[in-house]
Amino acid sequence: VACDDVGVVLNPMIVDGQVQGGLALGVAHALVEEFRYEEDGTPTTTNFGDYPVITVDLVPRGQLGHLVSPAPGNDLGAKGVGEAGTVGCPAAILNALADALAPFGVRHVSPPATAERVLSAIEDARQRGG
Amino acid sequence: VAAERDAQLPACPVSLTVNGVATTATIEPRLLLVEFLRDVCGLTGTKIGCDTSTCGACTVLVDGRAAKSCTLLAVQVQGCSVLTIEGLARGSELHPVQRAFHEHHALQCGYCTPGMIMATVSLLRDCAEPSETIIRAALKGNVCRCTGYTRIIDAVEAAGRGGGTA
Repeated sequence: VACDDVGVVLNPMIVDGQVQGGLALGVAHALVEEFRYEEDGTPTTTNFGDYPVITVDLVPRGQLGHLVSPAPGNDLGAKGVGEAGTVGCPAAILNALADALAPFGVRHVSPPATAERVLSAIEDARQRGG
Repeated sequence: VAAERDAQLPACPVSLTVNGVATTATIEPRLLLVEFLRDVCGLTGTKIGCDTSTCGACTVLVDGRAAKSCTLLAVQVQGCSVLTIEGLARGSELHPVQRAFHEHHALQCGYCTPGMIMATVSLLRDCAEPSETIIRAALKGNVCRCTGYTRIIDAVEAAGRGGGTA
């Protein structure tokens, strides 16, 4: 679920398109996409083979809502909506993940929370717990 | 070794049909199909995204099936029929898949769109009314950074219901 205040909505189809696109970007940052570097700063993510741009099979269909508080500074009351869904999405996913993994003693998984990272977070927590 | 690498390979003739037009050219054998379409035929609707077959922006139809034109040599499609995004509309009348993408706001920046549409045309030839699950499986070779994909899925479903086959 994503709910943004973009002011007065002039074209709902375009606004929802931007928010859904932003949600997909947020899911991607939380779960899939990452630039990687070696210790000396050499980038190891150099093409789309190394950087898995999120694909259609992995993006959920967001439920989109609107809060409308008209912007006072212009006659239309419009704000901005570019990639609006992106901001809250990774926090929501990673907090949900931390909550789900709390019984294992995991408090945080760094994004992107790949299966490998989730497993190693559980393993680290187990070793810390003795 | 460098001289050997940089030497021009002997040009060779290639004949194929592009959007219904018989096309003959003399090209370097290493020329990619996407470069042939864009630089020799001047059909720049087909995009180059990754050059490694990962993004799908260069998707065209070769003998009716979707193919990534950055990963085919032009000489490999000798004698074949190639369809690009420019060949879909009938005059000013959009192809049903193009119309569905337009009506459902299935594009934002538009860079992935020619490839998405050609992949969709190929899908609808195999499966006239695909489910969302089938659409998601069929289009995962085409990446889109802007839309979050759901409106693309909606457009493909609509094109399927409307008989969006070429």
